[in-house]
Amino acid sequence: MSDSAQPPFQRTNVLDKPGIVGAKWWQEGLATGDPMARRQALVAIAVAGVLVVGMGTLIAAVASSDSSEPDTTTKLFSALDMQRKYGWSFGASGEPLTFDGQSQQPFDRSALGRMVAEFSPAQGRLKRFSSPTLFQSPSALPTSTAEGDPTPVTPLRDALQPIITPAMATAYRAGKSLASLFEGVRPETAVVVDLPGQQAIAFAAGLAESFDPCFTFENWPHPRGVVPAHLTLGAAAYYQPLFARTLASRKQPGPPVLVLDRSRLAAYTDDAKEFDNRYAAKLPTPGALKDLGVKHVLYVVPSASELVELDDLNEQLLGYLSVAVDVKAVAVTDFGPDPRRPIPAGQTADDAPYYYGSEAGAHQGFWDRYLWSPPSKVAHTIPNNVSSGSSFVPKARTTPFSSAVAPTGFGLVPVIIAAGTGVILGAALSRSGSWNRASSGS
Amino acid sequence: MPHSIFAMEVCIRLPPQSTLPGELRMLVMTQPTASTYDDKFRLYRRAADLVLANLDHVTKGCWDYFDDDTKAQRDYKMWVDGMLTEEGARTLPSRQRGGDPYRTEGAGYMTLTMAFLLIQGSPADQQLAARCNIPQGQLWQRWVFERLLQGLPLINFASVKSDVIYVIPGDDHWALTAQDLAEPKFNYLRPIG
Repeated sequence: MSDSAQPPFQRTNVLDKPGIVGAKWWQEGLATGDPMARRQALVAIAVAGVLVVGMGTLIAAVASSDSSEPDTTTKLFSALDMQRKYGWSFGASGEPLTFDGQSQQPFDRSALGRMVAEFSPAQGRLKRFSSPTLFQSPSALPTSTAEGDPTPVTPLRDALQPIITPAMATAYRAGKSLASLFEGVRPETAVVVDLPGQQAIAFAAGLAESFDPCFTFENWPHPRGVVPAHLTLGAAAYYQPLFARTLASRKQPGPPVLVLDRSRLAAYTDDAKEFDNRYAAKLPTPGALKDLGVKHVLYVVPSASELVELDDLNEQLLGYLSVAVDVKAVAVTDFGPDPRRPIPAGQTADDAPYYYGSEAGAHQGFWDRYLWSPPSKVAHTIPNNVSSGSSFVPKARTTPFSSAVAPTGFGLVPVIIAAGTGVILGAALSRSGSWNRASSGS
Repeated sequence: MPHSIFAMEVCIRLPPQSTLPGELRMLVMTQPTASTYDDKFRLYRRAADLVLANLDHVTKGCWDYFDDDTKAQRDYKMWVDGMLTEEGARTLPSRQRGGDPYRTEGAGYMTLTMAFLLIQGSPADQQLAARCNIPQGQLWQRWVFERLLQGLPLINFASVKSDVIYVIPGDDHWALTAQDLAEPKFNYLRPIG
């Protein structure tokens, strides 16, 4: 969005006739206030960091109309690489993170240094499917200082706050409820949790007594991050004691739960104000999943209206079908408390267990819908107030992540480079960079 | 401020009862007068999805990417004029109302045109430039149009100065015919291989 409340594009022409309909828009802000012209020049280089059919690195140099020699250039670099080198808040040092739902419980900040170890699966065979990236961020320190933007970086561990929100509490109880359904069931089902980061952590915490979690978070938080990874990390900080405990106590070999942040592909519109910390999820290959003994995949979505996999998972889930691994879905909203069941003495409504179909007597009806285990012999009903996730089948569709055409410009940030020396000056979005001051008088 | 241009037009053979023209028209006409970057993202993502779902029916097409400022501005004006002068549109209906909806004859042809005037050197421009770097002999192949359409949702509209989108026809009874497309004014549309 632009600075003003007015949307940036204004429609200047519209046509609605039997022969043709159409419209044209104009972004006035770019016509009157060109930030790049004020910076005197931009030289743009697309970094071919991802597969592009028939492409190498493309270079295009552009001098502004009022300058013969550009003094800075802009290049796109991996957002994560820049954060690892120049600090998690690259280009926005000093800007705060906002944590909704801060926990009031005692918090041992020193435990953040153990996150990588405590957010790992217990089984060695699963470790290659788990990423330590997000959990490395609290302890990481920059290895360099950007020449044009030497603002000190506050360590993330000092900025991080544990959070617990109502949505997280719901996800935790839903995860616990799902785990109860798998007690005594052969460990042949992998769960893929695809919820907003903090809820994904909470759902995995609910499963963690029996399922071995593999976290797939491939980004770091940033004050202007497109993906609010700091909330995922805040949720992880809250549940860290639980994950540490279950890491040691979990019955093995537990089936895997692959934990994804559903915000990873969030819409990104403004590279002048936003930091593109998006990434595409990586799941085990079909062969690897088969090698783990997995025969079924249960894909967890937020609600019944979201029973479709995100774009980056389409081919991966279809790949599972191709090796006869069954894929079905379930929604968090398929689980809830039974309003007719009295709350045990000493407990509150917040402690009430969740059931599939929100009814204790229907809980085991899960297995009447998901035919991966014989239906329970305990008397039960089959709930109707649940999603159609048991009928879910991923369908082939073309997405920006289709294998032949992996998207470019994803998870990259514009970086200002000194044209003469090639030295990195800082993030283009930085307000404190020296290149801004140098150009202000032109 | 130098510019670049990316433009694409596809011609689609419509199967009987196709809802595609109506969906695309509705998409264009329901766009707000004042649009946010998110509105733009959604507009072009949806447009791309609709065409991609009908990619097998795309018979002809044309696309351009130029990072020469003069050419970019001139060509963008040309694409806009294509809408304002209604150059490709019929002046009379091509079929009568009340025809047999179950006839086997196709519903004719439609075109969708999209053009973007970009800030040259911006990340959005670089991204499109990379995506448009296609070997000369393959410019008009179906996979290329698929690749370019898949790139539309990735455009960062902060660097787009102007955009235009139009659909021919504006009414199903004014659909283009094979005879229309054989006219010289449509010669710029290349058969898709």
